[in-house]
Amino acid sequence: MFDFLNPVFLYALPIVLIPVIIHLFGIKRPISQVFAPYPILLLIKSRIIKRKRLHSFLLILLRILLILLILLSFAGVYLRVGTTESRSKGKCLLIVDNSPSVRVMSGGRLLGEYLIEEIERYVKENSSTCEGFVIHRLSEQDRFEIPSEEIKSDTLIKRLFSSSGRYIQLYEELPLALKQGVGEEGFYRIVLFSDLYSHSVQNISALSELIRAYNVEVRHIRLNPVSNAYIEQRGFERTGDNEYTLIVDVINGGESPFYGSTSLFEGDEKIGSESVNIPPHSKKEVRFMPDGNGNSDRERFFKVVVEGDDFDYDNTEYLYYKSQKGRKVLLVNGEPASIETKSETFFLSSAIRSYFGDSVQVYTVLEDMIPETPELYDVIVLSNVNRLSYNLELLSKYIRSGGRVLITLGGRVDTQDYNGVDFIPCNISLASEMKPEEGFEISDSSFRGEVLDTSNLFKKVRIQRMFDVICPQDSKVILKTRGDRPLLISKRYGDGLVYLYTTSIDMDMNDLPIRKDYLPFVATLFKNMFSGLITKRFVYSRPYEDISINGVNCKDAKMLNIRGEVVENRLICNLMPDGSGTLNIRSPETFGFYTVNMPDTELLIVVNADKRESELIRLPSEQIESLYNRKGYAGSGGITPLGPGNRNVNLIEFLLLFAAVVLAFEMFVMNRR
Amino acid sequence: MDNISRIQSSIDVLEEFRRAVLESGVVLDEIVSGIHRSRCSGNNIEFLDYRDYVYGDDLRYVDWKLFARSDRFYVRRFDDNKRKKVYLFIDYSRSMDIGEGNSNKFFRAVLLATVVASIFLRFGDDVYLIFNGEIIRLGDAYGNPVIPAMVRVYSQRRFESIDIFSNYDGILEFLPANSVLCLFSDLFSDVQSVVDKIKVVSGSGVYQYIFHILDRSELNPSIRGLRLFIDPDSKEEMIIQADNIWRDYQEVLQEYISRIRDILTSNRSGKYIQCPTNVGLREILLKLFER
Repeated sequence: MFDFLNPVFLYALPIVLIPVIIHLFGIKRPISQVFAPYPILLLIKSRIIKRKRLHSFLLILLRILLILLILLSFAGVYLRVGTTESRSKGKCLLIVDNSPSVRVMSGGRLLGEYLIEEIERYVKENSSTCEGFVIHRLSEQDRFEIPSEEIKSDTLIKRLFSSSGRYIQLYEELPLALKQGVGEEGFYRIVLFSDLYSHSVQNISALSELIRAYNVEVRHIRLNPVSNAYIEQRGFERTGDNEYTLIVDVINGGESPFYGSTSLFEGDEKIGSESVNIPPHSKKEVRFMPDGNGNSDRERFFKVVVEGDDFDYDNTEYLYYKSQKGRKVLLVNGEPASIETKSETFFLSSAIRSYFGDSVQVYTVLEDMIPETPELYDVIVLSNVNRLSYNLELLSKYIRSGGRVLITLGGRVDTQDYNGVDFIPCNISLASEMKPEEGFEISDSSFRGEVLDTSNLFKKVRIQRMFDVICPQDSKVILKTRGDRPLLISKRYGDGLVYLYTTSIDMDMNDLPIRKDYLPFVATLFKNMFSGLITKRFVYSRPYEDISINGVNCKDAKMLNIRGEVVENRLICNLMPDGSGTLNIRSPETFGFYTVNMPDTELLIVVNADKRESELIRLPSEQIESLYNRKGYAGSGGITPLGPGNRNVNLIEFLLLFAAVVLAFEMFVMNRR
Repeated sequence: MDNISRIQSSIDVLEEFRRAVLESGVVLDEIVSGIHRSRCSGNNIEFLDYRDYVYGDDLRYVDWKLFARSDRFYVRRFDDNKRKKVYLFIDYSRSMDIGEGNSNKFFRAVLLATVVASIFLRFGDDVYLIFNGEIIRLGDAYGNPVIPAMVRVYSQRRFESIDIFSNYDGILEFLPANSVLCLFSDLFSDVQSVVDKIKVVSGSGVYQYIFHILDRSELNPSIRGLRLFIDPDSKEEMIIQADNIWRDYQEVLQEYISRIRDILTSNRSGKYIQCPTNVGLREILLKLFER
């Protein structure tokens, strides 16, 4: 029947008389009022007095009820439903806390081993009353039935601690476990094996409410003071053109001092190490200078490991160094000049730098100095270059393998040489006589970028000279003049793309560079050229964490681990009709580097330990038990069998809700005075 | 109050009454034009005696033959059974002393009585004022011109803790049949007793005009909080939480008024006219002549 969590509040029951006392002593002195229609008042006197009495009685009653409800809430009244003697036998549910916090070393042994010993002991003691044992793993929220004779340490360790574990809040996860498939029969007993680790006393309070409500017996696995070192990355600090320093904080989140070492690995190779000595709940900054090997700007995969503490779970931190340099553009200047503004590529390089900033690096060379390694560049621009045949092989190979080339024309162009090159999109010839044309427009809708999406652009641009072109079918005209002359043509060649601009990119043949439309034009042109190139992105994550990546073509995306093996069932791709999509990823439970390959994006996921359990600021075991003991559950050893449908119904919420209704009614009655 | 201010006050009241009588004359002209001004048709008039002419007497009643004989003006007096005897009865209990200045209930009662008296006199009726145990015949001919007489009544007011209705039916002893009784009162006395007395008078053949004088605060009270209500006449007391009682009060008051109105209208023995102190004289006169 009814029982109380804090019966001490019942001693305060006499305060329900307060409204009566207030009513008796709180009579006010009336104000005198000479009133001529007094005889009329006499007629309604009895009616008023009767109503006043009823009103006062109702008000006192409501106030008494309100105080009573609040007192009962404080007293923690609950209802026992069903009978505890309804069954003498049944299956027992063993809920096991296998979260990372029980993987701590305590007294030279894993805390989980103590936990498993406790399970074995419990099974042995209760095998006569429990018809079977169902073990529920809190970290995975799954359960399995295991015959009592098969419950052995090695088997259980394997099954309970097979993965790296998931950070859990006990008071959040326990209800899920309790509500999962209890079924009609219910369990004869429910036992929780846990270190009862909680972040706050409020959490302990919430947990103890659950334990009380479901008659859960608790086996508290005591923890000795431990040291726990873990890493928090601060980042990479550049110390020179080709140098950077990796800075990490080594934190001791345990109650004992930490003496150990911190090492930096690249792959399996140790490339740095430092001894550290950290008092409890303190941190120390450690700096590593990874050897640049002459090229510090390549991406690198690091691992920092601390050794020598009691809690291995969070000892390794994976770090990724992303190359600081972005896209690279090589401008081949066919007509250099001593005056900078007269140079062929001056306006183009200024526009690229203005729009893209540091994310695009622009290199300018003369036409006879094209580097031997063009693959280092994302885009090569050939501006008013005299002949293409000098570098034909180099350029053809570059384009075939996916490179992007923009050819802009000018007075130095040898049209015969150009027309002999197979990757040129069209046959060109310099227009012999030409009336200056005003304005040009976009003829390929796919070219419209955010800054060019207007029909009014370019209409004032004046083109004095340009090249006549004859284009085959596989070329695509992107821009044309008002007089229908092709201005920008693209052609796919191998895996790459070639763009042909039929006038000069400087001011020799047109006034576009001094128009306000020049910058948006260059920006859109280069964005078009960059598109389709693989973008590299990376994200840091925790085990089981959900990540969402927008704006990617995630069709046929696959997740691979560091060994190149496919990791299954982690990705959900929501693809839009235009090919862009959202990729939802659930991080793997094992720490390390993972890649997700997509047609246009390569995503690197760096999974590290969840640090929320690393700060082992826990109350001393005695204090934890005393907190639960005060309510008479944890560690008390008292076992309450749980029969079919037999559980405690917490009435506090109902009482408070009822009290709120009573209060509202009381205010309503008050207002009707 | 010194003599000068008392005289000034009386002059103010006189002026107020005179203006009210003039206004009533205007209203009356508007309302009753076309109606015969006198209820005396000339039939059934029997000569009674002579009396000396006084200023204001109708020259039609001067006996010119007697003047020729005696060289003095005499006026003929008739016993006229069509001529009504109108009695004005003003409540002077303490409950009538509510309100300030012109909004005082008693002031309004006397003002209305003045107007009513002048109207009846204009119709040629005999008007008597019953006040403070005396019966005064009003009219210039009888040495009691209406306005000065009423000013005197108002100036010499002395409120008493009495139930004026205790003797209301006793008035019947000297009231001739077919006479008219005009009551100016707030009717705040024992409710059942008031109703009974009005019923008795109503059954006796006397026509009653009941001018119910009410202060605005009595019609629609706005008193709040815990109050000790005191009856101004009986000095009885009652404690009431006065926050939510006024709807009931108004219901009962209206019920009381309805009962009085029903008595008067059921056998056509009178008329009830509600006279809140904040309502203009014209409106009240319109109600008076309303059929």
